[in-house]
Amino acid sequence: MSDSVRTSAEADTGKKNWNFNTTIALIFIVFWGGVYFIIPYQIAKPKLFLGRSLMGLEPTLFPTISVILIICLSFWYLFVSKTIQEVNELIRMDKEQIVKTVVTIAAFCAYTQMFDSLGFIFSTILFACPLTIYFGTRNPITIALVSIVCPVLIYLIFSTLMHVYLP
Amino acid sequence: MLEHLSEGLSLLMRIDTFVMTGFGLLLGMAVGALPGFTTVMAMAILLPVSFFMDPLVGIPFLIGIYKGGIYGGSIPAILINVPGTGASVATTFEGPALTKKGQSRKALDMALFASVIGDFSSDVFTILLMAPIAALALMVGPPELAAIVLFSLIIISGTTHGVFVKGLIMCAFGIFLSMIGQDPLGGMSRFTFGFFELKSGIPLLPLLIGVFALPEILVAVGDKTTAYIAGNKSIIQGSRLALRELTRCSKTIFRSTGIGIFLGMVPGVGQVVAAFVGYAAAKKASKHPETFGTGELEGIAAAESANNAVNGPTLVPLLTLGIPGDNVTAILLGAFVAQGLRPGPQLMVEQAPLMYALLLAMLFANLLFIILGYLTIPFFARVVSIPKAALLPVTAVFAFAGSYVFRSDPFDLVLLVFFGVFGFIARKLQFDVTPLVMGFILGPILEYSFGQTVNLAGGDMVSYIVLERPIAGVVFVLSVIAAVTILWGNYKKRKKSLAGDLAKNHGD
Repeated sequence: MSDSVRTSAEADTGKKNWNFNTTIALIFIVFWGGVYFIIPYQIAKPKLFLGRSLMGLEPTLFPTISVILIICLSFWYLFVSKTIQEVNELIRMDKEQIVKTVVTIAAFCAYTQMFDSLGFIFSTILFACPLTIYFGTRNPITIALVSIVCPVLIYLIFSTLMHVYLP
Repeated sequence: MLEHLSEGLSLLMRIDTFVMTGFGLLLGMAVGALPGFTTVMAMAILLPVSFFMDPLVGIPFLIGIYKGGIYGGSIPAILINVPGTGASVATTFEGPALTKKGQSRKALDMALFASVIGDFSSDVFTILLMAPIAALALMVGPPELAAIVLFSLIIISGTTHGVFVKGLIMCAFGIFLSMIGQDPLGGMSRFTFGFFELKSGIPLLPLLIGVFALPEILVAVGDKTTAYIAGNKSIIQGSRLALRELTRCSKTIFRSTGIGIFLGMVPGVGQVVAAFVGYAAAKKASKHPETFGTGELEGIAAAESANNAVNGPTLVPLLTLGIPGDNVTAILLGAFVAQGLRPGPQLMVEQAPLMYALLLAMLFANLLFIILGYLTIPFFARVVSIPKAALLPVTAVFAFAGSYVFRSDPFDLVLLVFFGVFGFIARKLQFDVTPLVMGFILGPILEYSFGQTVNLAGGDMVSYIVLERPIAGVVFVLSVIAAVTILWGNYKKRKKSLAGDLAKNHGD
């Protein structure tokens, strides 16, 4: 539990009364406050019988309690945020790490789009081959193993052994 | 119970169960041996594979990955001072020192034997405990269940990594995510935001794989230690462990096993804490505490038996009440549900032989483990030097294929990426995703039992709980006490940290 709690020298608490936790707490309050107001529009109304609901419990009751609870927790989070000493590892990422992460996420998104339309094997080759090279593998045998042999094997495991559909 | 055990044993006697358990153990060891690849991640991405097997094959396969993974984490911890999993951090206190002394083989053997003894004993304890707890669980009604779920969620939020309030927020967010789709009482559509795909709710699989597997990949991508691990050539040195060395540590192993079993029953505590407590207890009880930290075999025995002894008891709340105590049991719950089995008191009554067969499979997995582990240690010692660059894309492909196959719905891949990115950002901002998963899994149970309680109370909740369901009231009060205790602990820790900083600033 204490792994993430650092001393103030290490933490991003240069501004003593404001840190990333305070910002997140405020975002939460605004976001969950918004969710609270849309609850009536996002929950279907139960059918009425002779002007009364057949359900014993209002369908909005539990969601409303939950969202109010999150809002209360967010206020509590805001209240204690100034005393939390943690490192915001997101802003501590260097340029190389950011680029690698963004490229990987972009590859995930592209793979999601290709998966169904191009089929599993072809889309996986297009996804895994450049990514393997990008991550630093230069050995052609390893690249071929990862991007061609592996997808074929996975396809065979799912479709032949388990009789499960992969596009 | 004996009748169910013998029926379970006859159900278990099939070759495919043993083959897949062995395969799971080897896979788990391989994943555990790879620094940066966690057992939870392996279980999450291989969970869909288990869906298409018989329950008596698929679930032991996952249990094999779990057991193998916990031990596998000790291999890099001993050889290159990099814990393969969180559970093996305490093993780094002694392992690398033994490797420096040229006794890495002894250390790995000790880790294996201590793991198996700890795990086996905890499994026997679990089997013995299951019947009385299941009988008690049958008396649990909706108010008690709601109170127990609330209690578990508070404990899980308080014991996981990070600040308590952040854990609670993640837990509440998980409950909110579980509300998307249809409400469990009236079947009314809610929070679909106009997306047809969300009408049946968020499926568990993309969420599990998304928050447990993809963030590991994204973190590993930016991990600067990759090159170091890839460049290390680990060699096993020295003689094997002698029987007298194992018997010398027997007292430590059984003490740590007791610690692991006890901590395993507390939701959310898990292997990491057990390993540290086991190690600290061994050091305290030792006649030569000064040898700890310099390559003491007893230290490895203590940490490894403690962390593996957690494995059995974590299943007790899952199988008897349907409440997962940690992320591993949450994944196992996914496997049960996909097989059409809903863990809980009814399942222990209706499918008792099957449940006992699964518990016995854990015992057999240990026996298999000692043989496979003993033979394959040299091979897995080389696994630590496999470059991550080649494994990350394969892991990602498995994660995507696994998320897709269950429903064959491309929208599940969108959810997978969404939860993967969410999990990555949460981790970087020091939010633990385990309470979110627990909230997501336990949310519908909480909502359903809460709704039934409200209906049963007939408008006067307080009188109903106090006069008619006092046990639910007691568990509810315990939840409040647990929350206050965790808060008080956090407050004291923060105050101490601030006082330390002030003293430091004055000193400067």
